[in-house]
Amino acid sequence: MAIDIDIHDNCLTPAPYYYADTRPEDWWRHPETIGYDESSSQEPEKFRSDVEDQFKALAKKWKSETNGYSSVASMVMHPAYLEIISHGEKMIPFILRDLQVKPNHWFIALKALAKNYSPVKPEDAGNIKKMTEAWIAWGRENGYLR
Amino acid sequence: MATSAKRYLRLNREKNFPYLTRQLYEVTDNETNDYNCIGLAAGDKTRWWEPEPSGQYYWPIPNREYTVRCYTEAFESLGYQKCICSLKKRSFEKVAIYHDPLGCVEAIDNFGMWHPEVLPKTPTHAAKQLPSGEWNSKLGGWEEIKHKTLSCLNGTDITGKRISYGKPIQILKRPLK
Repeated sequence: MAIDIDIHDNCLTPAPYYYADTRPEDWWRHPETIGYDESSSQEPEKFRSDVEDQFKALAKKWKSETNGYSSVASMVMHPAYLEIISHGEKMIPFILRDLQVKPNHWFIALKALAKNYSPVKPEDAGNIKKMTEAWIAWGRENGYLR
Repeated sequence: MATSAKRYLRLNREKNFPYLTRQLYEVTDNETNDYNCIGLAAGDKTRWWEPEPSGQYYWPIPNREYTVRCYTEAFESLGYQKCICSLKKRSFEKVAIYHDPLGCVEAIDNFGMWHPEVLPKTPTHAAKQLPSGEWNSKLGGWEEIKHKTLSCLNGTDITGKRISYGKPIQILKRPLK
């Protein structure tokens, strides 16, 4: 008995023409290019505001439920904080903008999202104002902040 | 004659501490993330003290662990030595390290499972004794308060949904300069 198999339905068969990722490496920095027609002017703004709304909701929950902890280790284990990290580098601009408004303990998340890089000098460790300034300067240098 | 009214925590913050009544405390400084309770107890209101392993936060000794022993060593590096009495002695200043033997947020994993084995080691708070015999605490990123007893910040919560400092586990003293 012959079995008719379409080889493209076999998940083990590579099908590069289906999944080839033609996006530039820094696609996540330009949400306006993701999944939308470039000629549309409305959708990119909607996408950006959706991500920002998500960040704001998670950040508000994290701050309200952990700001009384005396230890950053306890704060960063909060599910909302971990969820922000799980969204990846697209969260960096929102975190940096939040830092500009009021310094907070975003440094662990930023270091994780910046691939274990930290611009904070060892002598400034624990100085929240200087740590904030270092991260904001890093954000500007790397195009996350204008 | 102008009199300054006592200030208190917001109710939603106050309710995290079941033994903290308004007869026992008052707010002494505004909320800020610039320093924490460990920094305050060590006399440093410019830095957040934390033995965070990657070194982003200030810690006075090379050993960086979230253990009562490591916190005790940090205060010993500042001239403190262990003692067992929290009463005010004229020629000494004292600090108290808290831990939560039952619950804190690190013990609850993402699936809501409680891991008691990680708990007893984790310090949650530190308070510094004032010359009056009262205690001075910075409540994380919240306000700094003056409280009459160590036990008024006691509390535990195994759900991890409430701030809980547990109870004092180690008292340290050093001679007043």
